[in-house]
Amino acid sequence: MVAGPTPNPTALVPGRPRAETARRPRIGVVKFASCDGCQLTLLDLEDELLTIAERVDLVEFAEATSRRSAGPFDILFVEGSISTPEQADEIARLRAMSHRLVTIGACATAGGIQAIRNWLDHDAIRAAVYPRPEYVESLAEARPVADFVAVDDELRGCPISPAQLREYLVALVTGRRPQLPDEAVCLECKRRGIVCVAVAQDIPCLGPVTRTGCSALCPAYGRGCYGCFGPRESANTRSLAAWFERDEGDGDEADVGRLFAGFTAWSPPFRAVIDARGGPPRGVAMERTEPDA
Amino acid sequence: MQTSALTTVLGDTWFGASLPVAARARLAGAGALAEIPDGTVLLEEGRPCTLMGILVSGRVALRLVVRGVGERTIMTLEPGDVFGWSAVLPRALATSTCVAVAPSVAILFDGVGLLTALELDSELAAVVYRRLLETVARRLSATRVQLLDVYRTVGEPW
Amino acid sequence: MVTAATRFLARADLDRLLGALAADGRRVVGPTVADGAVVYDELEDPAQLPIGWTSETGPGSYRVAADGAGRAFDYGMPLTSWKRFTHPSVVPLSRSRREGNLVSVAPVGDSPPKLAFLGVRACELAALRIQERAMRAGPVGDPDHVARREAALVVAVECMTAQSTCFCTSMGTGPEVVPDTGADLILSELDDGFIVRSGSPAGEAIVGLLDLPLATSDQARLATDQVAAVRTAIGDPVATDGLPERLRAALDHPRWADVAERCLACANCTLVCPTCFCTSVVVASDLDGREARTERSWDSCFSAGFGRVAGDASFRPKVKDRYRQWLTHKFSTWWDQFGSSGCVGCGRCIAWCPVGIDVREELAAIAPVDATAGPVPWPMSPPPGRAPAPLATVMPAPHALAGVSQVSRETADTVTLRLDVADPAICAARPGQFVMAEIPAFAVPPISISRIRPDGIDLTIRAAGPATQALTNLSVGAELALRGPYGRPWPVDAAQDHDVVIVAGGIGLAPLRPVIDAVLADRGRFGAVRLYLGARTPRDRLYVAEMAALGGRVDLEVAEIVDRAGPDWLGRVGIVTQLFDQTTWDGSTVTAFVCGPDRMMQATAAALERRGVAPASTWLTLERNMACGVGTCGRCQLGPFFVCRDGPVFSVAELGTALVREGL
Repeated sequence: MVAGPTPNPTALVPGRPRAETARRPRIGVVKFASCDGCQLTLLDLEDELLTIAERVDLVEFAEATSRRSAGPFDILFVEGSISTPEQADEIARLRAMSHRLVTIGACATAGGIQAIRNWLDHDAIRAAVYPRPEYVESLAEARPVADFVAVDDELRGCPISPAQLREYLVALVTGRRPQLPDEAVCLECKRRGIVCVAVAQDIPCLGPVTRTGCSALCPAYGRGCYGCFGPRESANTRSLAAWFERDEGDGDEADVGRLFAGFTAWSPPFRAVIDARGGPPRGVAMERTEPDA
Repeated sequence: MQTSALTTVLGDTWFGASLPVAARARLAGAGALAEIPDGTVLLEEGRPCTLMGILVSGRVALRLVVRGVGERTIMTLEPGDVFGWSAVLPRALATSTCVAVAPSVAILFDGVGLLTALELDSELAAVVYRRLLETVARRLSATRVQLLDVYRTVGEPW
Repeated sequence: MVTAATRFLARADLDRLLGALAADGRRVVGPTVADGAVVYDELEDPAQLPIGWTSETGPGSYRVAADGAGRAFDYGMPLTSWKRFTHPSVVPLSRSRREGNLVSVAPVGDSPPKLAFLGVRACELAALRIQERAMRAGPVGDPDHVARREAALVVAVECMTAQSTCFCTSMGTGPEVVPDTGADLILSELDDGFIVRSGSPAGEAIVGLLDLPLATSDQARLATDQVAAVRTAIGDPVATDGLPERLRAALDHPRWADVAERCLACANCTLVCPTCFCTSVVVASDLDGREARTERSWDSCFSAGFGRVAGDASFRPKVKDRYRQWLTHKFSTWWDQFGSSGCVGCGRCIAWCPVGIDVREELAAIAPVDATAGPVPWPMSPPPGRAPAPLATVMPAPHALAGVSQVSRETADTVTLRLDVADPAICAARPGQFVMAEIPAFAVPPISISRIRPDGIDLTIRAAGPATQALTNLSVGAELALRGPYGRPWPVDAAQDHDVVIVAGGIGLAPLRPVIDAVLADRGRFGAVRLYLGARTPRDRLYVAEMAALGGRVDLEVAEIVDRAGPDWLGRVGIVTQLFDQTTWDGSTVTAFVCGPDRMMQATAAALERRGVAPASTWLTLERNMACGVGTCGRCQLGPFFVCRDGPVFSVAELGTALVREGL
């Protein structure tokens, strides 16, 4: 693991509001293998982003400004999973340049939906897709940033929640602890008065094992939770998966595995359910096979 | 000091107080009262443990050396405590450096002499070893709590 | 006055009832079908009621169906409970501002709306009473809850159907609605209309507006028979005699681990439960932390953060601990705290558990009727004389402003703030009490008062997180807001004519300093006084000059010891119990006051007991995660105790194994 530089910049002193300290913190936003939606959430703050931009120094944020910087950063927001050797080197370099590294989104925190390829035969895929696969350098697995460098904080979601992002930025500037509760989506459903789709309609929902943050968006529209924010602490996925299967006959295990094989499939509690059922759903031609002689 | 006077002094210490009176006298016979000036190094960590002592007054510090950090005091002994108990074990090496940090008085026992006396006198050995076990147990218990570092600051939810 | 006359409201006239409630200036809230369930929502028209709807429930299952018949209240137990309106999921608490050094805090809270609750079942009436009792039990109560309850007119309905998950009969809460249980009006539904009884003068007034004919005795008997049939259908599924004691003795039952295998700790059971009241406080602010708001939101003992203290550690790290906390609180320690069971037998927790855990089954397995008596973890208190507290007039309890007049750095991470406080209640604090110390935009920690003066108090604060760090960063002239003083103080008066032993470990000296002040202020009243001080290293000692001066006095004995030191330190090194475990003073005449880290207090209590000090005379102060400080958020619970209200000072005897037991 590569850790960040140790001196504490004067930019951020816990307990002392930003306005009283010396310089504006240098903020960077970078991207690896991802769809860009988490960075967009920063831009979605709209007017609030302008206010925030007065208090901080956005030195690197390709989506929003042509200013470029290779560091150093007081806070570096990292979107995307690490999927190529080049990215692995770059994240190590960026970590050494950053006082605080914050991963944002399912790709950076859990590997993202692209991590489903981790179960499949990487070489076979490259060979089938690219005429000259030897020109394509990628890692066998798309993995979360924390597998490569030490991560100080994470904002989960697919994409991250504007409310949580706002809370994180305000906490950063005021010096208070960010309030990002690690609790089930169920609490948001019940606070909002949303009828539980699982109990009332037998719709499989990952809410009980998924961390809250999205205001229970999908159940509010009558859909089961997809697990975008990843597993919460003490996620008892084994019990939930067993419950989903209680009336199923043999051979339907793969369906339950499919439920967990979404945006945060690679995170250990969800991965355990998938692996116990023989991997993610079939139907993809690129399965692990012996290489042709 | 006369053995009978030493027996009385021994009986006033925690170590000696629970020994039967006859045993106290026999133990006292193997020891001698000594004045220990402030700063005297009684035992050195890792070196042969040649004596055992029961502190009567003053204070003795047990120290270990951590390379790069220096000397650390891991425990101090008060009147009634025992130092150099390793003397009664085979291959007696001192487990820490014992230094008097105040002008002190102790009943000192020559290691070899004490060992011999205990081997010859099984009744005395029984009560002395039990009291030594209690000493070591108390110290082990304290050391374990020190190990937990209960006072260190850990982050709070606010 | 309430009359016993039963009247009859024809089904076609139901809109007149709604009209009468509206004429009383009330918005009607009642059942309606939405998203595949019956929920409580605002109603304007009786057509919105679940007419012809029924529901079937089972563990982890809830289904509504239209049966084509014409009854409006046969839908069973809805998802929502009435706490949505008396104890809403989000309630604004206060607004605060920080301008430079100055701080202002004001509570927020408009008068609650006048509502009519239409369709309150017998078990739900019991739940309203039970939850209100819990919200009135602390030193200041929860005026928001009480105001909302008082602003609601309750129209109860008797149950003419039962679901398979109902067990009100066992809990003694239904299915009959009996007089004087909180209903203003009571409806019993028949095919062609409703028997109507009034339960209060307000209900009688509504009935008066409607000018209804009397019910016939046939109608009345039909209603009674139907309700009786419901009672028979439910039976008596849970053996409640002696259940609180049986559960209390079963804290180590292997079934807890078994449930934990299935339980998702998703908190659904606690949030659908009509009596669960636990909350947390959320802070929001602008970017500079100059303007902040706090609000209270539903939380649950199943969430990890609920029992969190140091860092990411939790008092209840395992799901097994959390499930045990919930079940034993609901069915056992609720009796210690509030004099009744916390469960009303509505069955919501059974239906809405995503994996169908059934409390009836778990209770039968963990605390069966024929269980052999197990060890008693703590003495069961007699139903405490906790009469409902007098109400505070603002919500939350008023903030007092304090100004920092001096800042003394005690150690690398600990500072003592000397505060000037005008509020007489705070200056009248007793040793051992604490205040909730607030800086706008930060979490609000409980801080022990470390000195009490006629014109203010001292707070000794260790910077262990952002909020305490912010407090230690305050400079002279800065203001902060205080709530309090709260908590049960050290029983200094009880130590009169006794010998006194004070054992302080690290920052534990802070809440003990007022005891030392009180004893020395009236030295003649006490026997021998011995002060034993422990700290991590010589540089971590508090109040060094003051303690050294105490050491020079002849009327008390002071000894100190540190865990570790360098060679420059010629004092004692070791653990604090070594200061007294080989002394010879008589423990039987001693009253002891102890404070420090948990582990240190446990070791000290044991060592004092070996020295002959009675556990009933050994007092310590506990620390728990607190949000409200007044016994209404539920976070500080330890077994049957609210640490903020029953403590933080406790005797070792009354704590029993709560002092040492893991995961409580």
